[in-house]
Amino acid sequence: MATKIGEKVQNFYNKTPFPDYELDKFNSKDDLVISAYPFAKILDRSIPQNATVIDVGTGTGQLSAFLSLRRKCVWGIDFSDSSLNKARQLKEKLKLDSWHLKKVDILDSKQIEAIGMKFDYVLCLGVLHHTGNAYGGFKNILRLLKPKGYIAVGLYNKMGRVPLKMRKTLAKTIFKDNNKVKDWFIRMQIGDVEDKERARGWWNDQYLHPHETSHTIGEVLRWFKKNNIAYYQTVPASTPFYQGNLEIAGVWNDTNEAYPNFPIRAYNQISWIWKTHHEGGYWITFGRREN
Amino acid sequence: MSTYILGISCYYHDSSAALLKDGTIVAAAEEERFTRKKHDTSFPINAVSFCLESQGITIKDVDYIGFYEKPFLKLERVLSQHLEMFPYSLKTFLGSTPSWINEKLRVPRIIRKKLCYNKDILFIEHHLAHAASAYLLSPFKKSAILTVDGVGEWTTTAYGIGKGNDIHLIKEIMFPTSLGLIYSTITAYLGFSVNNSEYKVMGLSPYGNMNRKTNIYYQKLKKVVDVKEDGSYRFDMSYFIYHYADRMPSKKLCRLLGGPVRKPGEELTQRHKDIAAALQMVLEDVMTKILNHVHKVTKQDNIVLAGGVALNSVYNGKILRNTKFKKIWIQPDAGDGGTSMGVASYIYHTLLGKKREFVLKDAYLGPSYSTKHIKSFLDKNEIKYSEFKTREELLKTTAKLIYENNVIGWFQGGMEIGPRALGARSILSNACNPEMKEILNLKVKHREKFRPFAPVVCEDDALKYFDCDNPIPEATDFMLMVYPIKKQWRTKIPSVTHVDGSGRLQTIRRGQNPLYYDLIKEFGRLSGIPIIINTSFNIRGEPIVCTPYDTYKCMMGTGIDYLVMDNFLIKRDHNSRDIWDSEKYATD
Repeated sequence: MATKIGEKVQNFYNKTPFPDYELDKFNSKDDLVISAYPFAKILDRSIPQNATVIDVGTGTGQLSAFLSLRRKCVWGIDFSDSSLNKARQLKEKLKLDSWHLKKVDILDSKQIEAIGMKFDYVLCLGVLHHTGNAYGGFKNILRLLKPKGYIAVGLYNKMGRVPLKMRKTLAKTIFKDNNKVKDWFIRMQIGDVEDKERARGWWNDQYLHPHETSHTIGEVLRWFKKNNIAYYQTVPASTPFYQGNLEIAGVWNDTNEAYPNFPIRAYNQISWIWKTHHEGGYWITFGRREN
Repeated sequence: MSTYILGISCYYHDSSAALLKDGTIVAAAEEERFTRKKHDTSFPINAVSFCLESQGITIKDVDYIGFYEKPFLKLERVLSQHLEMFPYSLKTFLGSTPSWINEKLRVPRIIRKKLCYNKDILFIEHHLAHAASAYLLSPFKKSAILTVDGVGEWTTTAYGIGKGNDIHLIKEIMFPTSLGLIYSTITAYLGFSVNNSEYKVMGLSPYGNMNRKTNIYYQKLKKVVDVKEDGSYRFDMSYFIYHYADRMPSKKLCRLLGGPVRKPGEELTQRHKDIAAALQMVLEDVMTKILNHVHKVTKQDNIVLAGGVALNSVYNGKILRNTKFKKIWIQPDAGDGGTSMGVASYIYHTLLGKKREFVLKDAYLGPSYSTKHIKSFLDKNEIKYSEFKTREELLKTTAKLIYENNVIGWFQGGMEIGPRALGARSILSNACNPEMKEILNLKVKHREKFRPFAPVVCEDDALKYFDCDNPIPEATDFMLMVYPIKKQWRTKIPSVTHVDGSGRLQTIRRGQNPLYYDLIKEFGRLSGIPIIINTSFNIRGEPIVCTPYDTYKCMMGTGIDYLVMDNFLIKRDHNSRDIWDSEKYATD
């Protein structure tokens, strides 16, 4: 990533690895399972054991490390050396032989090609909105996806992000020196945490990040259409009154969610202002390459 | 690719889900354990979620879903019974209509919607699901099958034969004649709750007059039940109103039994005890005739039983003595909860024709928690505990605590499927202490005084202490057989000796649960008698505990002295009770 934005973002992550954790917390593979987020567990159950997986922008690597526990080949790529160093320490400590780590800039198609293999599942969660060229990054990561392979793209939503942007402004202006309010803001997002490194990582990522963009469902649907990716679903759901149980249905389950046409997605994105503000307006779209 | 089949049972009582992977039941649980509502009837969303999570799969990996009954056939019965009894049935009919419209007739839609599922859903008859749960999970390649319960769609009693993968039900008795429902009616008459407390009536029966000639209520009930030599039976329905009203005993039945329905909490008189005894004797008479006829027709040495009546452990213990069958097998969740396993097995073996290799040898199919998970739960909640360094230390310390008359909560491995705690979610105590029954009732169980506590004994020791069938049937491993305790031991294990000298024992084989087995042996080394009291880990009116949180909460709300949870020992007195008065402090 030779751009100015890229350099800024790279420096930022080198200084503040994300999502970050205290290495002492992970003494066995069981610890990875216990500390995995509920959504990571849902992803794990949704991906068959024999599938190959790549986590693009893996950071310090909890998700890809956790996914590698039950699989023979899971890759994690990132362009931040210090994040990857932490991930490598974890890999070595827990002897995660099926977890492969590599420094890759996703805006550089040559580096992507250099990986030299394609995957059944490509996960790119919370990465593209920090690249300065989200669509370019998206097209590049498709080079890693096998025909009929599955993809998940996590981005900030234009509407859902509004409350966080307001909180961000408040934190930088009126409550600049008020740590209590800042604590409250971050607790709102990740709950009470003892792990201070993790809390700091999240604070940095959400409130101090040098670059972020936000996107709409329609935008991602257009990316999918242009690149022959069939739409499966979004999390949170794009269909109003949808009551599917993610823990049971998993993701990439194409049974129930209708295609979000313009009125539906407009309605939903407005509702995301209050429904997703805890997560900073974050949503994931799931699809599958058609050929 | 593995074949996964999910069995579901719900909307009557004891909702449950079971997951079968390539012919093996890999997970099964009742919904009540998650919702903490006893006999929960709701859609088993939590049980399904557990089943899938335990295998690391989602619903799209499931190839078939099976439902344990045919709702439209059941509706046909309900409509015809209400039409026949109109207008008396109007109130009950109107009361049950919403659940038919909202739930029971929409089962396929509910399954698809709640589970986001789009493949095949198969419905099999209720008694076929019972029969499958009994035969296809049994070790027998050929066997007679008998299913007896309250009511399924139309059927209340059915017998047949299982050969290889196939089940053929030969004859059935239909609603309203039902051995299960007469038992439930008298249960209601005696002031206990229906579909819940039938086992209490069974426990009460030995206190009554068990002499067929002198028990007047036996003579009276014989007038109500007309049994033929082939075991077919029918009732004089003028004594019952369950076919059109909620309140089960009729005025005529109350007159016959010489008094009104006993109110819960009212004193249990000798008359009540004699009625319980009479009921048990009538049930045994009918069952013996049915079983002898089934033997004559099927010419099989093996018998498998299912349905709620198969949980009548007092009669189960007499079957091999009273009939010509040589071997018996009953699955641990013989009631409706077990039909989810039955329907899944039926789809795999009988409909898909896949080879039978699996035998249900233990009941530990529910959620289990890793040592790390439990440690993190204890640490998070600032619970004081000590950790055993070795397995030996765990066994020696726990056995000593039991020997010293402490009440021990025992939480190990996967939770049991079915109504009995079998050494995974159990409360253990010293069977040799004559006071132990009172201590347990005072500290934990708060249950009726007449109800006995159950002994657990290693299978290789059982014949020394109990007058069991030899070889001991596997059903005894699931606490489904009552046998007499040998006379010389009755005074030595008074806490588990029922008034008639019997015990509803659980036998344990080392392969099923080595830690539990070794604990009993260790206790035997201390006390000289390797028998422990095993009762379910719950308080009266609550389902058996499931998670570490439920378990700890239950302990802190009762007088259990110690909790052995996985590798950790928690002493109740070392922990503050107040914070556990409120659930908000707990996380799990």
